[in-house]
Amino acid sequence: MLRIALIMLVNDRGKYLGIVAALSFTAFMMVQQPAIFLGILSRSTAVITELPIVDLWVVDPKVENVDDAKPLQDTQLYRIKGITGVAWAVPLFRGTIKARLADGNFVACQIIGIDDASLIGGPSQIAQGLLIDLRKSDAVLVDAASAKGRLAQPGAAGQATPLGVGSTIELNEKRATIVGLHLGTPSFQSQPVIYTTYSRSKAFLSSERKILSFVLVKLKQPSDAKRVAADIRKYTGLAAYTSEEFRTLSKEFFLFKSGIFVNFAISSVIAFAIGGSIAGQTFYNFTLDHLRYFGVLKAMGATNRLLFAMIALQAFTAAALGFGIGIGAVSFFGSSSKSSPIAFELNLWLVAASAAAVILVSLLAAALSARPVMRLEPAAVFRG
Amino acid sequence: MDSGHGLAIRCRALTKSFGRGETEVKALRGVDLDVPLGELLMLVGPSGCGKTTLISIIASVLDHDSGLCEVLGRDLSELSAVEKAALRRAEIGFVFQSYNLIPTLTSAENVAVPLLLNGHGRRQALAKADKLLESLGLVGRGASQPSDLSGGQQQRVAVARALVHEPRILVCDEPTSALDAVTGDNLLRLLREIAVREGRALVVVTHDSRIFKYADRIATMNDGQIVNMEPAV
Repeated sequence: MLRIALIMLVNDRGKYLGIVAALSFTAFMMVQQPAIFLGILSRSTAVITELPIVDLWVVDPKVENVDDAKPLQDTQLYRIKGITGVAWAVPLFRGTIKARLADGNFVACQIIGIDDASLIGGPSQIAQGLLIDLRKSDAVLVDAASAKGRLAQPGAAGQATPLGVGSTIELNEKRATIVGLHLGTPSFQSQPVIYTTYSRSKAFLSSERKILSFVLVKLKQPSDAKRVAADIRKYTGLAAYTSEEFRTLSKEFFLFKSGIFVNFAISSVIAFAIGGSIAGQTFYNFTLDHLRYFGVLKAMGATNRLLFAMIALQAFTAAALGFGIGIGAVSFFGSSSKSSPIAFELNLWLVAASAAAVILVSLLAAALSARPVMRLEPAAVFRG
Repeated sequence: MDSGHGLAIRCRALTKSFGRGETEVKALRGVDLDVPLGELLMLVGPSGCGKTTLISIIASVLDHDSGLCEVLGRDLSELSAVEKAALRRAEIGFVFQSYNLIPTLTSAENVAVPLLLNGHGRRQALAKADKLLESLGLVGRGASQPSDLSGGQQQRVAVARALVHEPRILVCDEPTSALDAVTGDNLLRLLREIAVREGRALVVVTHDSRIFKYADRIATMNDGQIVNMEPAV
């Protein structure tokens, strides 16, 4: 009889496709929006992830996330270097700067100043040029996507000329020469990311007295992290976090204090409500359309239990198919957006949450649809 | 299972009312009825006289208020809903006025439903359904959807569905109302041949006087009572 239930569902093409489409939409939206959010969240902490060599991030104690750098005094760097257990400590600047394009427009960029001597803090992947070339005069690295996109030189015919090694740009009214293109993860705000040395970033931002955002610390013994972090706090008054702690701190900020999570959550809830109600309503209508035949089955001796199993199977089948199509579409979206600026990160938790939501929708639809069938008197089939 | 007297159905002082107080309608007012196995009984009478209520109770899809209704020796008032469902599954076949074939299933699948409900395997059920459809003159129509069949063919599919699990009682509600005279005549001849010849009891509710000749007895109902019982001419 369960196979009969499936045949009844599949052969009612219009409603079947309607239910599956609505559930696909629900699954797609419920995963796609949070996946974009997760992608953005990952970008927000990409600077931490891409520096696995660093054991401790030393910041102002008021810092709430990696984008919220509160400038420190340069002298703090030397005090940290003096703490027992620290193998090395280097400065890192992270801030914003305006790049002036040839057509006079300005583009806000993220600028990262890395240690002049060791070049620790540089991008993880370089597409063109060499990191060491940052030691050349006025040298900067620009991210490859922005070199082709937002920072490309506007041409006369409306076609932009990509920046490349040897191109120059104007940063805060100072000339900078591009010595390489990097493939670093875009920032939270998706701004162009420019790397230079710490001292040159000071020159670019000459109006700012303090620019030290972070002190990156390598420990002699990584297991000593807690003790060294406590000493740093004790002797400098600064906060020191392991990479994992700093990542968590930043993610929690974006999750609970930024409001962006609420926006994405609302999108997902709306998708769930709209998709779920359309799917539920269509499934309910499908069952009502077949109420007469469920009555016939009941008259012929089908028990309520069997009829509920038939309805539940129909609902779960539509849910499984809708979920599969929805997740397939999300995966396609994710893979096709890899080369685009769209942030996207799909994980098993999201897929599981979406599956749970779709199952919930189908359960509710089955329960609501089963009600009239359960209440149906088999004698109704004799009433014409 | 039967009462030992060859009786398929035994009703005594059967009553049934709908509604309460001023809106109460007494659909059955003490019906006495015996239908032996091997008999085709027609229930006739004006609309609202209680025919449908009576066959609904006999088919155990509706509970009676008082009196006795035994089907194959089993007192329906003593059966639970699940036991009644089991009785219907095994012993009662239904032919409805508007066929009530499930439109999304093929003819063979429709016919196979009672067998599937009784726990038969799908392949075996479909094979038996196809065979029965062929014996009813629907050769090669097992894969057809009900909508592709004529009214007469649909009603024959419905008859096949009612017979496929070899029930001992057939309940037919206005089986010829949607059929022309010739098709209706053929249908009743078929029902009589297949059902009665094999020792089943048939209860047919009808308004169609053209088919009275196929009955063994005709029970005339009026105002919730059987007012006349006579052999068919």
